Amino acid sequence: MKMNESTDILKTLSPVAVKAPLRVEPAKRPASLRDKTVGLLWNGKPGGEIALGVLAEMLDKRFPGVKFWRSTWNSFPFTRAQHEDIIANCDVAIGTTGD
Amino acid sequence: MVKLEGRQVATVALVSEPFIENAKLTAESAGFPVVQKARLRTSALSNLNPDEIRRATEPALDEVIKALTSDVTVEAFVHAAPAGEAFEVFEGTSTGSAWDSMNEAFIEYGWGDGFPLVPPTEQKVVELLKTTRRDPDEVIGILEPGMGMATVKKIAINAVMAGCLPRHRPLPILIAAVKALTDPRMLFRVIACSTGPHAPMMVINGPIRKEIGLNCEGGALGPGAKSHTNSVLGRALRLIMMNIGYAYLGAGDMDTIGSANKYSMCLGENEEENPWEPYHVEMGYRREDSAVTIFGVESQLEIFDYQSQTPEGILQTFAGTIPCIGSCSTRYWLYSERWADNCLLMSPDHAAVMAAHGWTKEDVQYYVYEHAKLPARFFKNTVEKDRTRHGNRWVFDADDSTMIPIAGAPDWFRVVVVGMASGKSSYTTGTGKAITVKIED
Repeated sequence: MKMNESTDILKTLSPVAVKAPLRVEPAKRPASLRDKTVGLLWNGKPGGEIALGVLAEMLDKRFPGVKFWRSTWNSFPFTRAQHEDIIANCDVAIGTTGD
Repeated sequence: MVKLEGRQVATVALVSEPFIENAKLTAESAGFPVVQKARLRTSALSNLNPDEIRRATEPALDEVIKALTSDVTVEAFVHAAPAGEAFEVFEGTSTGSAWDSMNEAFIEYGWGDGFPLVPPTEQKVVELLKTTRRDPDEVIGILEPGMGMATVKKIAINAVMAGCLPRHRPLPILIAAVKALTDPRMLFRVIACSTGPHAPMMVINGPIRKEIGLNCEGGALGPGAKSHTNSVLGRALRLIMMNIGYAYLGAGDMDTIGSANKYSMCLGENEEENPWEPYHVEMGYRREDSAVTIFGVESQLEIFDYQSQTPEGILQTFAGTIPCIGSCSTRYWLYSERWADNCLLMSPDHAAVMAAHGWTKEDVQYYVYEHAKLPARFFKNTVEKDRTRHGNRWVFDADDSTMIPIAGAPDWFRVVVVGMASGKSSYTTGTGKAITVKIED
């Protein structure tokens, strides 16, 4: 389409999709991890369980009474039953992601 | 982890440096407007020793505590480029220079695969939309990782950009392909986001192959005039993954080295030289139906044998080629919630030898399953024991020389006949189940 002798116009549509309107509100945070149960959720990638162990060690020294919960399974994504297992046992959770 | 937040379990993700953008994209796309992460000061944890992991993790303690005990700060992910119904206008002193401006912009936005793109003008998109009875705003599915809504119109826009024309009938084919991608058995998030070179391979069956000029013979997976239809359809699917699924390199797509397979992988089964039933018939469709099967492909190997004249001889070559411990597909059967449909892309002459000796596809699958094995010592060195199903951990107690299967079952080796008679077949290592969907207008 020409506007004038020396200009061509190209009008294109965007290929980018609108995202699905999902929304999750953040969980309420406890004021402290004292006496809380912290889930240690490993995604199965090498080294992740060591990183979680390091954090557990340090949190244990910092917060009296803190407890840790580890899953008996190491798969991802979590199944619904696994989600329920975590929710039933943990106040908060630390998870490894990526590599 | 986003789901846990929704159920009132506060979470924090440990993220190594290369995955920061990926974490933001994943959280925001799942509807979580914040990024609760603790940054690990390392490139990735893979191949690090425990001391190195400790040094990378210790500095993250305060971030972890803050994320779990403080009010959440909103940090929304903003995509730099326009989405939805936006138009982009490009000017130039000629059509060519306007097109150059368009391509420069699209590349900067990350909307392309690096090759020149066809301008998705309204006229060209409308031409494609006329080839389907579906409403342009119909949502075919939600594509991971970005949870973009794959409308018929957005599929058409990406098909135009890839070079698809109405005679390629891209919409019915790509709509069926997108439906396949959204089947959870596909493990599509792994295919789209992995640090590996995973790519979807489209295998098309049925009468539509001839209608659109799809190459089912020599060079079906390669470049060239004969594979024009193959090339643009495969390319369109990659653009759909990027622009609808937000699998952009570095954020949604975490591939470390990459693969040329990711540009385009589309072939037609050579049903005419297939001595057995076509693949889609094997999957339960009628011969007169057209269907597309998506295989999640990690890598491709050649299987060269133009000497053997028996099924055992040829399949021994197959069995000697395909076991590779470095492939994820080799170890998936050991894990929970993992599948790998590998594809034996069998040349017509190899298939003819099988059939001449009375071998069925199942015979081929069983032979390959029983003979394509690796010694246990390879698995012990490479596979994460803690990630293995309890029932499969016997592998780690076996003698180092014990030969171990590389698939969960014989039917993890799928047979598709393609190419020309040349003594050369091919093999693709898989990720996820291969999903077949009927192509419909």
